[in-house]
Amino acid sequence: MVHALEQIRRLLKPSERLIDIHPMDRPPPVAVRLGPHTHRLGYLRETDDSIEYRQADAAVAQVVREGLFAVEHTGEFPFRIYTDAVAELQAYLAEEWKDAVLEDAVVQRAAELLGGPERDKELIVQDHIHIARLQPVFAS
Amino acid sequence: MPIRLDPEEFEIKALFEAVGAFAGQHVLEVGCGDGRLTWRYADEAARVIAIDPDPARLARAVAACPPRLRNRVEFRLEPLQSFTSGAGFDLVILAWSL
Repeated sequence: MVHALEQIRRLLKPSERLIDIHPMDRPPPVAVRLGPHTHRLGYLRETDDSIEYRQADAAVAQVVREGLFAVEHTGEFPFRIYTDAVAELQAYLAEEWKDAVLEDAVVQRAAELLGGPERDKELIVQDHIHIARLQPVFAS
Repeated sequence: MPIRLDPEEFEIKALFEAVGAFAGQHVLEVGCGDGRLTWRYADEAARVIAIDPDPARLARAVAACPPRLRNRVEFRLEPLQSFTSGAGFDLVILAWSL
């Protein structure tokens, strides 16, 4: 990851910028909304315990510490995934988020809630995302 | 209901807040995936090179590229490690790819 940042720095001039967007090291909560009521079911886990997000944070911190980049802006935002069927979410995760794990208890409870008579319903996963704008630093 | 990703558009709002304006910018997007984020800013950019090492995702991006953007967005199937370009970039976006 540090190598990638060093490579990007070689593509940039001092007036140019790098935007880094990556998930934060927080397990995304999973919930079902039935009409006005939201039921928290648990969290989406990752098989590697989200180590890559901590490594991404560490890589950015390292290049800043080494004086290769300066942080100009940071922020965070929620990134939500919505569906109304557990199977849809499982298929999406299998394709796009291969190390994500929905625990059996979460799957079962979600299926129970979504299988009820309420028509206004959705299954929601909320990820937490970090965004930063970095300026390359060059010796003058 | 199909899967809906970020219908509130928090991601693109955060990106525009971080970048300011894309007008006239030459952008390299690393890890463009299926182009989900690319379409949302490329209208304003002068030129976008979007790279991704996953052939299936990149094929989806190419197929889904709006006609109005085809002369502005160039997709390349390659990882950052092998990426070379003589062109300078005003902005590099690491899109969920660090």
